[in-house]
Formats: sequence, C-alpha cells, structure tokens
Amino acid sequence: MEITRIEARDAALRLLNHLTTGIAFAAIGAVGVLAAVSAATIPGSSPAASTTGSSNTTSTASSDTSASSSDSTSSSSSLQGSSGVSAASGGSGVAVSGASH
Amino acid sequence: MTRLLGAPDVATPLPRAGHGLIDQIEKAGLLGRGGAAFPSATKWRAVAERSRGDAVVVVNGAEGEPQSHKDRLLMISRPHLVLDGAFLASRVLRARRVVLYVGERHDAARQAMLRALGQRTEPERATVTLAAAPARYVAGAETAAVHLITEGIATPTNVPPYPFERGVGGAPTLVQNVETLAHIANVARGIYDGTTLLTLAGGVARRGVVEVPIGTTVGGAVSASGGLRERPRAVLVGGYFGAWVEPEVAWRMPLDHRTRLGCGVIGIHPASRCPVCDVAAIMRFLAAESSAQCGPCFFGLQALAGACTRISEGGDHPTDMQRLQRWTVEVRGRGACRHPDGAVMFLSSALQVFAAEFANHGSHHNMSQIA
Amino acid sequence: MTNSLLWYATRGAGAVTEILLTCVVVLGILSTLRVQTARWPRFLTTGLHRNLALMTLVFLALHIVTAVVDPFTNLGWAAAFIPFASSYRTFWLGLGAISFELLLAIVATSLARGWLGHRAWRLIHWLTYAAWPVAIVHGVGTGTDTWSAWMLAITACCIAAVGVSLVWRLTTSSRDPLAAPRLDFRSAVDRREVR
Repeated sequence: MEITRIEARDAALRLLNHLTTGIAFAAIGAVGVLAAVSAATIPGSSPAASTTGSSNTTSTASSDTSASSSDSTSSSSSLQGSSGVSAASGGSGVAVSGASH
Repeated sequence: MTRLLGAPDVATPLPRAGHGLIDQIEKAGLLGRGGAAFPSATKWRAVAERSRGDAVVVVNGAEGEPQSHKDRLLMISRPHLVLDGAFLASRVLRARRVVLYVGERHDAARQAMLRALGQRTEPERATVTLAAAPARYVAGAETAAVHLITEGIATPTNVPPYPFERGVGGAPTLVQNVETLAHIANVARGIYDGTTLLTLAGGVARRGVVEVPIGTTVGGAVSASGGLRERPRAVLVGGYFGAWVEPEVAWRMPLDHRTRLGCGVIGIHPASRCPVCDVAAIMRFLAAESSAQCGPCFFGLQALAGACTRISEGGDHPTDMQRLQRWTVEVRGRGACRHPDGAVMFLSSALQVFAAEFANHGSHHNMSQIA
Repeated sequence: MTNSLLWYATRGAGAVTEILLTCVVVLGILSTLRVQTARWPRFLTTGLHRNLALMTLVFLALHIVTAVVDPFTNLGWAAAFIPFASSYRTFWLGLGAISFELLLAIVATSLARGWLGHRAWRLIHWLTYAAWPVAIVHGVGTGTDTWSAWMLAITACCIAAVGVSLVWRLTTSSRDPLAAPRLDFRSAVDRREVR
C-alpha cells in the first residue's frame, strides 16, 4: 500500500515530538549523572563549609586553585595540589565545625 | 460606443484628475486585465495611501501568455491612450517614475510606445524609462516585473510585501496592465463604455483580437470572430491560467467579473484534435516555465506533466490517473506565486471536461471511436 | 553541602549544555546538506535543530543560575551578561558570557525572523560559528573537570562531531535538486548589464 504524503508527514512529526521529549529527559538525567561523576572525580569542600568563616577560607583556597589551574599547563598536578590544599583547609574547617557541634 | 481598438490615437492634453479619479474607477467597476482581475480602484488606493511622492508606475505590457495578443495590439494601435492612463496614474498617485515593461521580442509594440512617447511633453517624457521583459511565462507577473526593474532578474518573489507597499526600489508601486490603463484613461475622459479585449484562438474563422462589451457571452465573442470554423470539443476560457468548459455551457457564459476571464484568451478546441495530447503539451510547457524557486511547484508540475505525457503516449496507466487526482490537491497553494495554482486549476478542469478521453486514451487510433 | 551541590550541578549542566549545543550545530550543518530519507524528511532535521536550540537555552540557564547562586563563586548576575565583569576567573568566564549573548541573539532573531527579514536573520545566524567554539573554550578554560577523562572524552567527541560535519559540508556539493533548475531559470531571465 502506498503511504500518502500526508501520512508520512504525520509520522515524521510524531517522530520529532518523541525525539524532542526523549532527548529532554535524557538531558535532565545526564545533568544528574554528570554532576554525580564530577562530584566523584573532584569533590567539593566538606559539610563544615556551611559556616561563613570556613567558607571564606575555602573560597580563597579555591580561587588560588583556579588561578593556578588556569595558568599552569600541567593542571592535573595543580588539581591534585588544590585538593590537597582544600583538604588542609577542610581540616581546619573541621576543627571549627567541631566547635559548633 | 467608445472602443479601444479602431479609434484614432492622438496625443491630447490629459484631463484634470485628482483623487476623484479613483472613485470614478471604482464606480466603473474596473478589474485588472492582466489576468488576476483585481479591482483597480483598490490597488490605486493602496498605492495612493502609501505614496510620499516616491511612487512608481509600471506599465505592464509583458504579455507572457503565448496565445494572447491583445496587449501588443493595444500598444501598437493606441499607445497614446496607454500612456494617458500611465501619466494619469503618475499624477494621482504622486509618482516619481514611470516604467514601460514591454516584452523584449515585441519590437513593434515597443517601437510604437517609444514613438508615441517622443510626441509627449518634456515633463512627461522625463519620468519614463523602458524595461524589457524576458520572454518567459512568469516574467509578466507583478513581482517579477518589480524584481526585473529593481534587480535585473525577472523572478517572481514572495508576497508580502506586495508591490503596492514595497515595490521598485522599495517604493509603493502600481503594476497595471496596459489594457486596464487604457480603460482608465477613458474613464477619466468620461467616455468609458465597458468593453474588453479578447484573443480568440483555435477553431474560429478569424483568430485574433476582438473587442466586445463586458458581459458578452463566449458565443457572442465567437460570432464576433466570424463564427466557428469546425466542430468544437471544448472551450478554454482564460488561457493556460484559466479553465476548460463544455461548449454548450460556454456559449451561454457571460464574460464578466464572475467568470475567470483572466488575460482574455478564449481557445476553441476542435473535436479533430486530441485533448489529452494537447493538455499534456500545455502541462509540459507550464512545468518548464516554473521559476524553480519552490520545490512543490517545480517538482509537482514536473510530476503532473510526466503523468499526463505517459497517459497521452498510450497504454494503460491507472496509477497515473490516481496520481493526477492526488497531486493536483497537494500542489495547490504550496508555491510562492500563483503559477502552480493556475496550472493545477487548468489541469483539474481538463480532467473533468475530458474525463472520457483521459480514461480511454489507448492510442491515437482509438480517438476515432470516442469522437 | 549546598555549595558543593550547586557546584556539581553547574558542572553537570555545563557539560550537558556543551553536548546539546554541539548537537544543534551539527543539525544546523546537516540541514544545509539537505539530507533526507523516506522516514526522515528535511523538516525533521530543522525541527529538531530548533527544538534542541531552545532546550540548550534552558540548560544554559540552569548552568548560569547554579553558578551565580553558588556563594563560592561570588558571581553577581551581571557577570552572566557583561563579559569580563567578574573577578572570579575573569577571562574564561567572560567567554561564557559572550557565548551566552551570541546564542540569545541567534535565538531571538530566529523567533523574530518574520519581522526581521531573511537577510538579517542569515547574517546573525552565521554567529553560530563563533558562539560554539567560544563556549567550548570557555568550558576548557574555566571548567573544573576539563582534564578528567570523562569530560575530555565529551569535549573531544563534540569537537570531532562538528569537525566531521564541517568537512562533510565543505566537500559535498549542494544536494539541493532545485539548485540547477533555479540557476537555469535565473540566467534565462537575468538582464543585468554586469553579471
């Protein structure tokens, strides 16, 4: 049976809607997945960073980090270094939060 | 009765005309004679409202319809009358420019217009330029004329914007058929008598242009052309942009605003000719004349012409007949200009009037059985 | 914890925006190639291109909002719109703002194409070839995850996709079946003195 042009057009339009919806859901899911992956590979500061004091400390550390990471070419080592730095400041943060506990 | 043809053509001073002329045109019920039959007063008003002294008047004598000769004949025999209409438009619409758009191969018409122009006053002559219309079917369309004059290429363009809002050089432009302008000149002088020019082709005694009162029947027009030369099978009213009609219906059909008079071509198709073959040939022509700017027009008309040709070459083609029915619906309204619509309406009317011939077109040998 | 969550979200949204934008660019290039099959007509390519372009803006908004709201970065809303206005990662973030504004202009003019006319629309649409690379460079320059394997892979795929599409586009003659007859008709009615 010959499919008329109108029916073919309708089928294609349905396909367009399905693809759009599918990609939208996939994109939302991907944000979640990639956010989790990014959290796993380069985690942020500890929960103690909620206090303003420690957040200032941590933010300074991060901006130092970012400055170095944008400058240096061997950024993997500086990233390693930065996590080391934030761990250190996180350590001090822990001490502070320990107090707030 | 004031006629366009057969009357002396002299350069007389233009009658005084202001905005009142547009009302007179409206009262006369004048419709465009280029093929679209658009109310002329409405078009004039649209340009007048937008003109800031920069309007352009395009005198459209391109006559792209192959069988039509009235515009050429009018320009040859009454060039001053046509110019009168053009300069009246120029005055009323406050135009800065008048462009004569004449077919590039229509030498006699062009020379007659230029000769008459040479006899006009200097201020009138100063505003006029000449543009040559390429010898293609769609080159006579409004937007194609505007595009040729502005850009040098006669392709029809998408509307909106219409020429009356943005035409030659972006200015409000009146594109008017030469016959319409001639009638308007008579309206301005108070001597308009409601006649119209027709080109009779095919099986009439005297093929060519006749002038008849509006409302004359096709039968009356045929009589004015000396009557029939042979038995007719059908009548094509309006040329390739028109529709086929059965002879009995046609004889009584009045040629006025109710019929698709188009450019005024009346084709009397003799019974001795094969209508399927002729329709196929015309469809091939119309397909070849597409400006190839829109897929549905170019490929649609090509497909329709192909199916018609296969049927005309004989043999059994049930799928082609189905395709013709289906594609005529799909092609309509899908182009930027009216070319595909006209071709489709031409074909639809042919499929109706010549239904028997299309169904039974085995080969030419079979034609004698149907006739 | 909220800080980190916003940070992860902005990174995730940034990556997804980069992927979506790449799809939009590739679909745009494919539509100029006029590819089509029986089940995939041309309007499907352009329709998907349009839908994904709007989707990109949505995820870009998410990426921007999570970044600005994050107290970590001290970004004001101005930083999203005024290039190089932030003190935080000034240059690379500035590129992001530039890409954002280019995309806004492209989408806005596409939506208003009826009023603007075809020529203006076409001119601004060419800016896509600036918006996409600037977005990629922004990601590479300011992205925390740039050199993580997963992000490297994503960026590499995006660049490859656009690269391949461009090469295909540049090496294929126009598959527009109307191109030849349109040219024929034009030359038949061309009356210009100088061509």
